[in-house]
Amino acid sequence: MALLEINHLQKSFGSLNVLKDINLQVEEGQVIAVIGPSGSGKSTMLRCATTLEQADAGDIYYDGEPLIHMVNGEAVRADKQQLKKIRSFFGLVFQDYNLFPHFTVMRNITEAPVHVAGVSKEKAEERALQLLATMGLSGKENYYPSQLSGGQQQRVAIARALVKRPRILLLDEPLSNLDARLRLQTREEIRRIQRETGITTVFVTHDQEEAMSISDQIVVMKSGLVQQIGRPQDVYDDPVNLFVAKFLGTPPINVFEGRIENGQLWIGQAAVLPAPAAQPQKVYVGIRPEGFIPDPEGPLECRVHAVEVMGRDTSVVCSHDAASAQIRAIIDAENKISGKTVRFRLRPAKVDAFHIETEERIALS
Amino acid sequence: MNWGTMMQQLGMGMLTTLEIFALTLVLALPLGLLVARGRMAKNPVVRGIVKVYISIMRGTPLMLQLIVVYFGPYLLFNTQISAGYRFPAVIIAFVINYAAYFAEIFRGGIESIDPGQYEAAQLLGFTKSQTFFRIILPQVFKSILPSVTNEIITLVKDTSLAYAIAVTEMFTLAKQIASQQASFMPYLAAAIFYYVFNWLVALVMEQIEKKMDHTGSKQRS
Repeated sequence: MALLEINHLQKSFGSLNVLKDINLQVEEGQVIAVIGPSGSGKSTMLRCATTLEQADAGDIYYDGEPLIHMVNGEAVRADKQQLKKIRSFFGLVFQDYNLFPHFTVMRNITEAPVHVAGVSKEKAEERALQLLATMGLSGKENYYPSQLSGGQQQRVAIARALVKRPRILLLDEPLSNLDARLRLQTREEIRRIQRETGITTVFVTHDQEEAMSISDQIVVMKSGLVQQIGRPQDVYDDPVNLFVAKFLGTPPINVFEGRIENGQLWIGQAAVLPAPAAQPQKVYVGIRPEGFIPDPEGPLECRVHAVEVMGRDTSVVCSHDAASAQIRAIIDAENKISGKTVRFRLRPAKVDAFHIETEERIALS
Repeated sequence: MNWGTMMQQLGMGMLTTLEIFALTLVLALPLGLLVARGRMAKNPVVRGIVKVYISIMRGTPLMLQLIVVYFGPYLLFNTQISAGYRFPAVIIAFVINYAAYFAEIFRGGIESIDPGQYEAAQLLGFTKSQTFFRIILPQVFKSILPSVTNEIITLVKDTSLAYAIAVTEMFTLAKQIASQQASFMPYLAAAIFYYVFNWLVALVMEQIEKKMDHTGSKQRS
């Protein structure tokens, strides 16, 4: 049984359908990142799953315990007793942490165990000290939240969420309130804490780099629908549609207008790849920056605007009539680019074709 | 009359003043919190009634309210007013007046608390009353302290209004002695008394504010 299971979840605010049909399963021990642009519904999904918002329809189960489920087309919601049980099942770290400013770090963590769960003060403090050590915050127990840095406050929030020994840790945009330097460090910290505690973790983010770097699975959302679920590398390599392809990767994927004709994929007058499996049609062609190989005999010719050498890699900024935006190709630094144009051949694995209207991926071979 | 006798007489008045001050504060603060809850109630009838009450209390002079509370029983029920009712009347009038002001301060404080605090408390399993008394109220106290200090200072000076219904507090006595002796000294003594009293209030409130301030860099050990 999945630890957290969401089926056909729907939620509207007035006439705005924020969640249209969300399906998601979280298995024990996984680290899952839910990503999507703002307005994709990812935070609303998290709020519905954490009882902060009421979903309109669908099922949410925590280890089989329903928070909401459909019986004969009617939504049945958890009663007070079930809610209590469900809330002990997960720990949520808020985007702004929502620490209690009038309590010390210690009381932020122990207040709930002592006054809600009835744990003795000594036991609660002992556990809190252990958690603070795991968080790398030993010695900070008597500080007030305002005396800590953003990253430290966040770890206090994680400790507060973990003190009740939840089975799932949920994090809302965990890195968005941190500056760039702290972000990288905190990212590694979260990963380390997850490994040490082994806790199943779901976090919501709009930052695809953050998602790819710390998760086993990513869930890509757009307009209230899950677009794709999979291992980060798989989703990156085999996006189901143009949106997913564009959303993942920095620099982003390069998009050309092209067509399939005579079993070939064409960009302008160049047949760039064989496409024996695809029907003749107009398509969008997505090429990852690392999909370009400079080759004087290559089929695709682009106008060079700039060549940026960045140590190991060289980034070639160029343009092509079939691409509305600038193209960015990342190539080995050994390749010397000179002249006004450059010819490329393409790595088949880094090229995808998408339907011109549905924007869904078309198998080429 | 020498200085000492005057101070002795005034001293009795000071005691009454302190009584009015302390009783008003002790009763009006909790009542104000209750009124604030009523002002934010979901029930529109409760909310409406409380709103009208606050509006009247803030919209009419305290001296007038004192007179209404004192003569009210006579006007309404034609009952004889005993001299013993004077002091309770002062306390009632002050408490219902100050509760209205405190209520609006509390309301502002409560409404300024980040909704995230309620959400965090809810998910940690706190009940509604635990959330209010453990999480919300302490933060409200901190944020409203400067406004409350202002009200308390005003209260110290307002106690002199009790003279309107001849309660023998400090100012009433000062006025009596001044007219008997044709001297300005009692007024001067009264002024010093009110000033020192408020100076102490400010000092105490400042200490409380310092104690509640967790934004400094100092570490609690």
